[in-house]
Amino acid sequence: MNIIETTGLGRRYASRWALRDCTLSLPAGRLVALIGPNGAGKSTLLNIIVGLTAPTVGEITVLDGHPAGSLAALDGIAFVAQDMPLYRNLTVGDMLHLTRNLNLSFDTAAARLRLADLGISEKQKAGKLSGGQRAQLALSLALARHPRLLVLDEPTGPLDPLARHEFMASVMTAMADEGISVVLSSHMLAELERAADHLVLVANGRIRLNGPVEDLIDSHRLITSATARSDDHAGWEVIESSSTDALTHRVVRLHDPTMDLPPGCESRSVGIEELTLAYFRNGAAAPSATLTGASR
Amino acid sequence: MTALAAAPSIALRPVPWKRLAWVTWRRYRFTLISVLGILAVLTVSLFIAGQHARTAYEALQTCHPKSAANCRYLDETFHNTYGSIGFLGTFLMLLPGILGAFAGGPLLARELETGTFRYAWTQGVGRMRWAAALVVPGAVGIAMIMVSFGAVITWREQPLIEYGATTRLDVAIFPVSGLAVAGWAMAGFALGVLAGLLWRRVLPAVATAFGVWFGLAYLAAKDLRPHYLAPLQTTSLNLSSHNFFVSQWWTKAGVRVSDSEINRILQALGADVSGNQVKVHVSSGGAPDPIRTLIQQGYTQVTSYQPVSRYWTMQWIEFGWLAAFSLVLLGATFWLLHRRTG
Amino acid sequence: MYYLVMMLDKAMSGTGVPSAIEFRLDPTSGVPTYLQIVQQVEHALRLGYLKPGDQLPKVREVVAGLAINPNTVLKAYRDLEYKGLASGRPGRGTFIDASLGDATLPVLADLRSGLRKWLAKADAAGLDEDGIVALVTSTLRDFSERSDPDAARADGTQRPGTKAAIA
Repeated sequence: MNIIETTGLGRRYASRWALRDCTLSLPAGRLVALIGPNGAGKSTLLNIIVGLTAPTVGEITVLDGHPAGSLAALDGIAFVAQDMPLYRNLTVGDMLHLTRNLNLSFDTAAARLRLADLGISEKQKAGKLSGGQRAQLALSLALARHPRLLVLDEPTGPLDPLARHEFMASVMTAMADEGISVVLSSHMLAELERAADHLVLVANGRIRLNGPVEDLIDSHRLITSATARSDDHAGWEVIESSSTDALTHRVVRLHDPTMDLPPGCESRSVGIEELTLAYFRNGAAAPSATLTGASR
Repeated sequence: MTALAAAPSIALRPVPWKRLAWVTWRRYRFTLISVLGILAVLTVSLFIAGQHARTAYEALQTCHPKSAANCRYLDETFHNTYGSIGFLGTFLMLLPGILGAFAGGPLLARELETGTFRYAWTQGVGRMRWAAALVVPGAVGIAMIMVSFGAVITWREQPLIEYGATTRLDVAIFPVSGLAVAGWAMAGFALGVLAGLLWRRVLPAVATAFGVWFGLAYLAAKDLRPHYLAPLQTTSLNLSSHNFFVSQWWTKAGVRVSDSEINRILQALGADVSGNQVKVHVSSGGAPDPIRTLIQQGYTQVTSYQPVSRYWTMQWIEFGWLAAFSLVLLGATFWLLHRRTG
Repeated sequence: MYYLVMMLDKAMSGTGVPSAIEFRLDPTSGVPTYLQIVQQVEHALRLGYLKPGDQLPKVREVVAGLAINPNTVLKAYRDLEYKGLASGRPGRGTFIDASLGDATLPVLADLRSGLRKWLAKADAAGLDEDGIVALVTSTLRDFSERSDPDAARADGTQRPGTKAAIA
């Protein structure tokens, strides 16, 4: 079952397309990581998913085929926006009460318990909380709604390592407890290595790569061969390549992960971080473009 | 992959208004306290001033005979002390716009400015219901508060109205009394809400809303209000000052005479016509009354006016168009909100 | 930075009996997370830290402690079930079913000292580390092929990752 389905989605601001030709089917019960450089279109896509922004073209349905932004969609999706916007002059208790009153269902007891566990007093003003506490408050408010889909826009960006770890642990625990689906955008590639089930790479407003992490890891390899023998191969697509006079390193996407490599090639698997960086460095250039100064 | 086809038609009941009442209250708490605080201070000062005016007016009423020196002194004092609207009166004229813009401007602008709209508009209630829960009580609330305050202003002005120093149709009283004040407050509020959505910043939104409101109020006082109903005309020279004078001109044999011609005649009589008012120098005591002279020469003064009896009709007209104007603005706001910003 | 996070990892002070083991991840190893969990269980079984009947940490506890995706933990536990090492009991958790080798701790200590002596002999004979590993691997393969079918089956189900755990 898919939690999000889009077809030919696009959003234009004035003459610039922030997102275009976006066709995705994101599975339920997974953590989908949306990664890409700043201004790549991640936030635009997330804003469309949560119904804050209307697409210029294309279709999007969420949960069980509800249009994004519809009441049913809003009811089942909780959004934690970038920088955790909260009413600074409201107390934590007031934020709880406010969120309760803005939703059909809200688990006040669970939220209270969570905040108590985190040592966040309900009497504190939301504006006086530390970055990590703000993030946890925003997350607690979102989780107490028992959403089916949790959408997080750069949630861990401003947090220190401990706060980031605790935040992700909270998200993961909610996944384990309630089987909610998560879509998050992040710059923290290393963190995603342990967190993400499904990866969507966005660059220049377009989807560059989309699939389950395992499949992507299986189908991408770093091939090292003598430069003299680094011919193109029909069985793969070169994502990034760097070469010296003697050796050439190429991050490639295998069309068939079980294929036999040509003789004279050494290969090893690549992690999410290496894979993502290869795509980012490549950017909008043609897939076979040769870049110098890449890793190694 | 088949999720696109499966759209269950379970009608989701919306978040009840009862719950949103708390949201409304929490949101307006500070605004309400501020507005009521300002109005309380003004009410106290208006009450004190009103008491003084009443006492002075009663003393004047009970003074006999009217021509006695002490009565003339009382009359003069009353006129000098309470006759003109003064600084406070000007401020009161602007109050519906100031408070309306102050209450309405930040409503959406602060959400957009601080980014909290991304919290508020992604809750289960949905942004339209959320906005309705804030905008409707806000508009109605500020209107009702201002109607009550308008009654205080009317009470304060009552002795002056009875005295004839001003009229209920006066520019300083009419828009801040009766129902019109509700319309003007709502208009300020609605302008503030829409400006907030367009500007996405609190201060420019409030400033713009007040600026537009002021222009509209000026236009209404100068050009619209005198013509809500066709003004009556009279040639009587003793028209009660309770009525609202729209304009005056002279005719001769039923034909309108230009102002310059009248001025020539008046100048010939030794009157100063350089200002707005005709000044007659009563130097030797033998100067002729210019008006009487004109009448003797066959000229007739025509006065067009709005009779004070039309007060409530005109109040309803002013309230009506302002309410319609506010509804259009709020309708535009909701339409823009529905189309989504971002 | 990451190391710091690892150091701060703590199993949630959950309710009930604490599990016999706690997982630690090595983000620099390049080994997939789920495989690291599988290997750590196998390693603990092999060294006798885990016995049949022991409960593995609840998915929620692992997730809360390590901030990893619950699907990863589920996948690791499914893998262990598939290998016949553990089984899930609905509503209660995942429990160890079988052991990898019946050796108890004293026996293991005895074997270890014997192996040390053998290694000293190999060293004296001029074998380097790679040579020793090659010899052990090939001898082990010969041994497995000739021993009883049960052992052969257990060996056959082992995934490549298991070797990394032994090494």
